[in-house]
Amino acid sequence: MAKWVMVIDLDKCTACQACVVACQVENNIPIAGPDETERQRIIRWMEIIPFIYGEYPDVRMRLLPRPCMQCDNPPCTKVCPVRATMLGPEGIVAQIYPRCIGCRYCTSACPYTVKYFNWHTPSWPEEMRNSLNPDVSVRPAGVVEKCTFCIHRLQKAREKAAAEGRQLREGDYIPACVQTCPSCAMYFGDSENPKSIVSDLIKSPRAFRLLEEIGTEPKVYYLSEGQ
Amino acid sequence: MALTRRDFIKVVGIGAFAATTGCTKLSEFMDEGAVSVPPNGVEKWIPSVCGQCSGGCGIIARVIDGRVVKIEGNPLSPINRGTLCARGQAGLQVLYDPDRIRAPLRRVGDRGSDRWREIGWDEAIGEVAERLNGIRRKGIPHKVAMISGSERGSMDLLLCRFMEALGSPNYFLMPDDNDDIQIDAISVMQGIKGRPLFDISRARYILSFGSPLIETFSSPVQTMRMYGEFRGGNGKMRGRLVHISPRLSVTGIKADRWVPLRPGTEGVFALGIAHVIIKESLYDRDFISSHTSGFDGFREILLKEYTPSYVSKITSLAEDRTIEIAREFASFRPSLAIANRCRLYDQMAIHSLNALIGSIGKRGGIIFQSAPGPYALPLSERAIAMTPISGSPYTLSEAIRNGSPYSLEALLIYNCNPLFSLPDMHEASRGIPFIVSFSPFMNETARTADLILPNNTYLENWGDVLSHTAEGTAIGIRQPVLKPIYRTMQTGDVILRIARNMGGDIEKSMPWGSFKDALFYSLRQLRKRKGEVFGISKGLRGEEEFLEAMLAGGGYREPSDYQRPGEFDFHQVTSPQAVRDYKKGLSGGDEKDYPLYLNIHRLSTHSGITDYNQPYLKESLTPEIPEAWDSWVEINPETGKRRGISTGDMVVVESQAGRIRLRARLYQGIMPDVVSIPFGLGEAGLGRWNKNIGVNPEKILVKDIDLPSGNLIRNSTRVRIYRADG
Repeated sequence: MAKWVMVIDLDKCTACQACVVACQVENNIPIAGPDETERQRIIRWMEIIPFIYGEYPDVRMRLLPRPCMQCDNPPCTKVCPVRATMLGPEGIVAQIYPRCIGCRYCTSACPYTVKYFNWHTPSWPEEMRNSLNPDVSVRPAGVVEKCTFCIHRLQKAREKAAAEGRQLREGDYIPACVQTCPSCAMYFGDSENPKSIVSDLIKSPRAFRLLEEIGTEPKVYYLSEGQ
Repeated sequence: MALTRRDFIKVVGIGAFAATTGCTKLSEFMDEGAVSVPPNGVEKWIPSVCGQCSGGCGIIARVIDGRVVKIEGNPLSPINRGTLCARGQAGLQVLYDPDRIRAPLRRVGDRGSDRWREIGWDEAIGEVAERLNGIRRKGIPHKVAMISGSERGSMDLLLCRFMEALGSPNYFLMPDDNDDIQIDAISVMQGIKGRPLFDISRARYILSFGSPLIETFSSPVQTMRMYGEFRGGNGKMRGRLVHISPRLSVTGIKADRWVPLRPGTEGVFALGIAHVIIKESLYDRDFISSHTSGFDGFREILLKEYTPSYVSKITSLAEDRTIEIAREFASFRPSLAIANRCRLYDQMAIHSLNALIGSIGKRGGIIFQSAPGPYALPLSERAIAMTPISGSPYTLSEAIRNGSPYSLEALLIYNCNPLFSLPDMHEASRGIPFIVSFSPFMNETARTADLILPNNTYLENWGDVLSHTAEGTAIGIRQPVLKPIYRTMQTGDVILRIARNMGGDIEKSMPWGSFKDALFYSLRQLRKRKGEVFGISKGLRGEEEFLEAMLAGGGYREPSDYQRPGEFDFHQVTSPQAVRDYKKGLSGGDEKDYPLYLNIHRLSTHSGITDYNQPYLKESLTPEIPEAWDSWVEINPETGKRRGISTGDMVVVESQAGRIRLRARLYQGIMPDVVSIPFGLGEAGLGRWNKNIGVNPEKILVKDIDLPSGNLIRNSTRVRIYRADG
């Protein structure tokens, strides 16, 4: 069984936000607009989070791209009263919209704040509806959503491989954020496959995971800067 | 630097709290009936070229039953190799912008009244042809000017040819937002006009003097790819980056070290570094003796005057800083010094560092490729007697206003927004009797036009973009990924139709039936050259097969002819005029009345050269400052405290040239005597996502033109700042 893992090299990352926008386009993320953004209701499955240390002139900053960590021990699934969010067989934390009752327990439980609530029925101007991705459903109001590692791409890659009568190969399936990364700072693959790039990278001395100490066992790894 | 749980909660916890405790009426989230996604269907991927900047990235558009649902990078393009930036990814919001201009428009009210009537294409084209012919008949064709957004390809050549055929020398290219390098210094000191390429991926050390290196530099995606390699991609040794600037930008954040430096002292600081390199004999003797002139005089002046203690006095930086950076720069070779396109002499001082260590014309340094590109539409033979109305687009407004050397009868504006990004153009435009815009969007400039002949968006157009990489030259081919969705027309076709309508010589010199014909004429000539189609190196038979393969692969590439770097001239760096400029510093207002410098910084999501009625980009303006949908002014917390200003307060930023109101944001990454405002918002467009969003800081620039280069100096304006309610 595959175990899908993302690695983000912070040394190469330019914080350009191509991943953020690629994700929004790929996954039909609604447009928030100024008012909803002000109310912190903007949805961004992938987001760059700034951390600032120290004071002028000895100030340092860190910019951290943050998708869903796809924890192997996810706090969010444990609090869901209706099993609308659960750990899939290949390690991707699924979000089942028709089951979700909008209680937002998972939103509170997630230490990485990756779960977003739909406060409104998402709407697009008529002209823009043509740009919606037919592989991804638009979520109704009242449900929680989050990064899926673009699991619809996995389904398509599998179908394609099956049609060609072969196994899934390294690189057949990558999420939209990884595909677009201009500085090639993002990697994606199956960590169970010893020949994959990610299985090498996660052994790097630079590799770390966010809030590892709380035992969530994230499948998003970072490679630290400056080394 | 370990990231603790406490840090994390501190930063992201606020958002989570707001999201889970917001008190809302049930009805607000219980409504049914989500949007249905149009159905799936047959999928096609069509290669083309991005049009969000002039970088020339190859794209492939995912098209399902005539709908474009995603844009990705074209893996065969040597520019971006399958990747794309945020702007490129947002391209569908250009195509499907609900506020696009959908048909030719005639203004029916006063200028600026925003009252328009739709007209037919024949009427629009006929009227432009008639007006231009009228001006020609009066024998004053030089009084027609055109401003064009920077495009590197056949469209640029076609417009240039049209203006030449008309008999006007006034074809202006909008200064390219991405040309933020010492291009003027290179041209003056080395006599090279071509576009230099900074071989970032192979450099081991980069000194960035305020350069927006990873925000928006040259061809941004290509630069970011090179940056990834510079940081140890492809098995290379990790390079080191030092960023010198009054503001901690994204480049500064990602740098190994940020050195805050007072505005206007970059040149002196660079000469201080040069002093140490010379004094400690760390320079490249071979390069200096074989490729430069004037070194002895340069050395003498530098050793005498630009000592670390003098430099420290001017820059307020510790002497050790200069010495340490100089040693690093000279020992981690190949290294690169990259300047902003600032004052010419500052650029020259910075560029002289590259010469000192021989980083010119070699790997990991600055590479020069043969220019111009490998093909061209033949230009017309016609000689133009008149001199241009202005030497630089930045002085255009002054020339128009003063009617000196002459006035303008007509202005044509293509693919740019000069009323937004050139100083004083608003006022100047009032004196021009006939303004034609080709804009697909109702932007600040289009709103003053008499006629708008709307262009298609790039995804509906033909075109080509010439770009350089360290490995060679590439021509990306733009082809329509769908038919125009409105009654708009490719401006290339409109220009050809105007020429036909005008008749005579002009018609004869523009013989192509359509812009596509002109483009294919150029592309066919490539077959005789030594390059290859993207993805295919051999085995193409005949012209048509070659053309087809180019359209299928997305372009053509060929290895570079490297130009010899040209002799580097040290004389000018320390010429009396240059020294005067270094000493003078910046002058943009009285220090007593206006105690702070205004810094204008770049955003990777908004170049300011085109229109951004693109909501995804407005939501994610920049990663380091959590602001969206509005402009802000960054103030050092100490400076804010003294003025009683906190984050979120409305403040007034005032210079001799005017005042603007915007929100304050206290930021540790800005020098105490500098405030910074991002460039790109406040476009004054009429789109629903850019109308009344943000302010344009250039509206309060005290106009300061660097005489030797004609550049607009953007960091010399002095301001004061106070609470809007106080």
